[in-house]
Amino acid sequence: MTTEPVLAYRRVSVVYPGGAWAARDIDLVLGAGSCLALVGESGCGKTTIARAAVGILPEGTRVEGSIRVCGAEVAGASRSVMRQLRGRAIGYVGQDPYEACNPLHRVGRHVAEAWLAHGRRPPPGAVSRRLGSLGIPSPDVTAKRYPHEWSGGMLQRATIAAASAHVPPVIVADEPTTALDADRADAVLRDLRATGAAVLLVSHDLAAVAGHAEQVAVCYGGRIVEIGPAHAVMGDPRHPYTRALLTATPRLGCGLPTPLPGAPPLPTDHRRRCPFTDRCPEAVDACEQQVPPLVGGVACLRR
Amino acid sequence: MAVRRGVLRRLAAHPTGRAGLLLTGALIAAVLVGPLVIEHSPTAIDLARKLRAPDGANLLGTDQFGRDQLARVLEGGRRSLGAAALVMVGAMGISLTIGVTAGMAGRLLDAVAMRVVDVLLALPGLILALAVVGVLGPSFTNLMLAMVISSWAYYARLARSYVLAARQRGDIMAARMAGIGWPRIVAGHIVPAVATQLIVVATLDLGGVIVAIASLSFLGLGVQPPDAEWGAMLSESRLFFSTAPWLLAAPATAILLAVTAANLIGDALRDVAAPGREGTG
Amino acid sequence: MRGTLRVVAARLGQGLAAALGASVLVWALLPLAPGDPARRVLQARGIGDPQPVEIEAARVELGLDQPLPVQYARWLGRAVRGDLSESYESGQPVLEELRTRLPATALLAVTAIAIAGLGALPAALLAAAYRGRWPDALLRGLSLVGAALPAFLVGLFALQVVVLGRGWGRALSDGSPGQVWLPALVLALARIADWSRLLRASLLESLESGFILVSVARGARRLRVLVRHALPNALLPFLTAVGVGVGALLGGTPIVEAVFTWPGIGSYVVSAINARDLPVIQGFAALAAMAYVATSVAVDVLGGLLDPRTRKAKT
Repeated sequence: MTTEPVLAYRRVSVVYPGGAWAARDIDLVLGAGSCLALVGESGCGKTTIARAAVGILPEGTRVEGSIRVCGAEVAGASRSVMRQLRGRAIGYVGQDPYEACNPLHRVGRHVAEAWLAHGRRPPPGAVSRRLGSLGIPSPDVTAKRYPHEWSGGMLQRATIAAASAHVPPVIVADEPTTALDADRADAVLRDLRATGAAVLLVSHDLAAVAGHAEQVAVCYGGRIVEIGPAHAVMGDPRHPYTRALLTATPRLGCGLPTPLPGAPPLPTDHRRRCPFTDRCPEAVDACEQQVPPLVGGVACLRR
Repeated sequence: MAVRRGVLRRLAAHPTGRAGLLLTGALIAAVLVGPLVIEHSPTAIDLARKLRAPDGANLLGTDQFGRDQLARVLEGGRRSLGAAALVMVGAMGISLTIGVTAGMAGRLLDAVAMRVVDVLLALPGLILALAVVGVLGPSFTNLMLAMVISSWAYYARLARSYVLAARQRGDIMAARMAGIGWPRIVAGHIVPAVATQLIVVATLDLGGVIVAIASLSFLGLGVQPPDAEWGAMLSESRLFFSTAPWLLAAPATAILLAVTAANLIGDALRDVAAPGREGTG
Repeated sequence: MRGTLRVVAARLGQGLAAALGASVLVWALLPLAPGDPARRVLQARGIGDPQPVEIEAARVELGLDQPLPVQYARWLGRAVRGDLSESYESGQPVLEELRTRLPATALLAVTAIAIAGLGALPAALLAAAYRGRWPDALLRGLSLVGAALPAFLVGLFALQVVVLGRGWGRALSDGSPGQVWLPALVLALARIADWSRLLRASLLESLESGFILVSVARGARRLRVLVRHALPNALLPFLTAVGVGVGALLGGTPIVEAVFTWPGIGSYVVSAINARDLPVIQGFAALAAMAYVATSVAVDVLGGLLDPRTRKAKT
């Protein structure tokens, strides 16, 4: 049984065409079949980090460092290399299932896109089989309908079917449950895990994440500020931001959430300091002078 | 008005606007001053000098009647450009009146006005102009009338939507609350704002109007001989294509210059009047 | 389906109202028309210098002695039964005259629309695929130039260079399919410029959609994404613009027909105008209004059918 990671980020930074840094010095490792949840508030760079593995960042974006998918280098890879990897080695599930579907194509075609994109036709019955295995009733009939005729939860399952059609070892799921209600959300996350792939799960919903991920990485200002086993990060958060995030999340029995004052640093801010300094209740002068290294799963000078 | 002066200055600062203003200025100067300077008359026939290529005596050559082409082009320019301006002013006037009335008046008047507009818009512009000229008879005045009739409806609908938008504006509502009566608000605030917006749109169409006037004259439905007009001159030159190509070149170039000038100003005006909007294409 | 039928019926009703309105307008201008139709008709029949008695008789025959509203009512009564009166010049039914010339104009218009579409499509695709780079800038420049060039100027030039210079085609057309390509190309020029710009904008907007990203994420080539995903979605909003463009194209037909002496409705109407043949003009105005509305309705219905979201589900 190999312990070679299926997805590995090493000192990955992402720069937008204008020179703004979306992510800095990201280190992540995902083992086969496991799930890492990448959490943080909007704009922290988690979507960018996730999309970098699939190579679907805007034109002109530069990726520094190394991203390896099953050993193949993705950062700076050529278009033809990426085309081979996409869909086969790494799948993608987005946030809004209706946005993800071409409104002019039937849902069956949306799933078949997994094969059509590579210039092949799906094997007979493959689409129905995959839809069926994800719990879609009467897939032969419903696949002929158009996306606007499907419910959000079912359509997201169809998208998962498409993303996992070639049984890729890695699936990037970018806020897959944000557009769905809570009970659907849980089902969709279970479906994602059931594919057997390693899942990089991006979410700002910590509560949903808690039950489904083995690892949690907390993202702030384009950097990972805390990373570790889910139960450890959630149960005993060490970074001040993680703590603030957990108190900001409504949880049963913990009273009303206290929102975080202030705002995250801008991507154009190149100062070498802890990104959380301005809002951190434990900040000291040293925090302004250097970027805290990620040591033992937490990036804080006070730990 | 202060607004107007500011716009001209901004146009002059804009590269395309500057080019357009220069070209327009040159054209207007040429057609106004030219006939005073040139000794030839646009209609004087001189069969002894017919179909001469451009030379010292006739800078743009002569046609089959020996008429000086430069004089005819300039005279034609006065006619075409003057007509285009008149048509625009006429169409603007009517559409502003009807648009403001429809936008400010009660539902019934508004509905009736818009029905009329819809009917007029159901015909492509040139076809409607053809129908009007057809009934009234070919003449330059009727051509201008036909063009006004076929173009005001489009602007009237625009004017009405601008009026409806203006009624919601903060400063208008504030004026109402201060007790200022509608007539003053309409005359002092709404009409100038709507008129400015209409002028921007109309300037973009100016090139098309010049072409339409030339096209209709080309068909023989506008200017009647011996009066000079660019489209009519092109029609007359058809028989002499191979033998006297200058008869085609002069009015054709004039039309292209005028249309380009109008388009340059129109594009610049759109950028200047509504900054931040993406350009064409 | 029922919803669509109702919309179509409403729009066709609009067309009839438009035709009615156009005819009212044309008739309303009649008092301003100079000349005496009765005299003209007699002259067309060969009576060079009609006597007052003959003119009066002709006036009664043509119903011109009645007040204008009565004349209009009689015209309208005949028109709704498909009878558009007789031409002053030829004495033949206007509807017949127009009908015989319709195929030539239809051939020209349809060919021009096809050329415009086939020209605009690759231009827009190239401009969208190479956005911001030289093919895009080149096409934008070309479309600006194309939009500014008056059709009759291009036509004259084309006639001079292509027909008289190179000997392709013929100077006096006979309306046959073999000769339609040049006048259709000239007619299509302004539309190609316009449509390629609009389609490019529509394509660029379509390329921002989520399903484009997903298709790339599945491993599709950029060409596939552009043609199989972006283009079909971009065509839908583009179709409404096509309806308006077709109207402009139809409006430009008389000019091109005149330049190339194409024996269609346009050139017929122009000569009718010069001959002050009022019934032809009246009939033409009403028919043109209806034809234009029918085309826009057809285009809109087509757009509605192509989009599954607006189509009523069959299941």
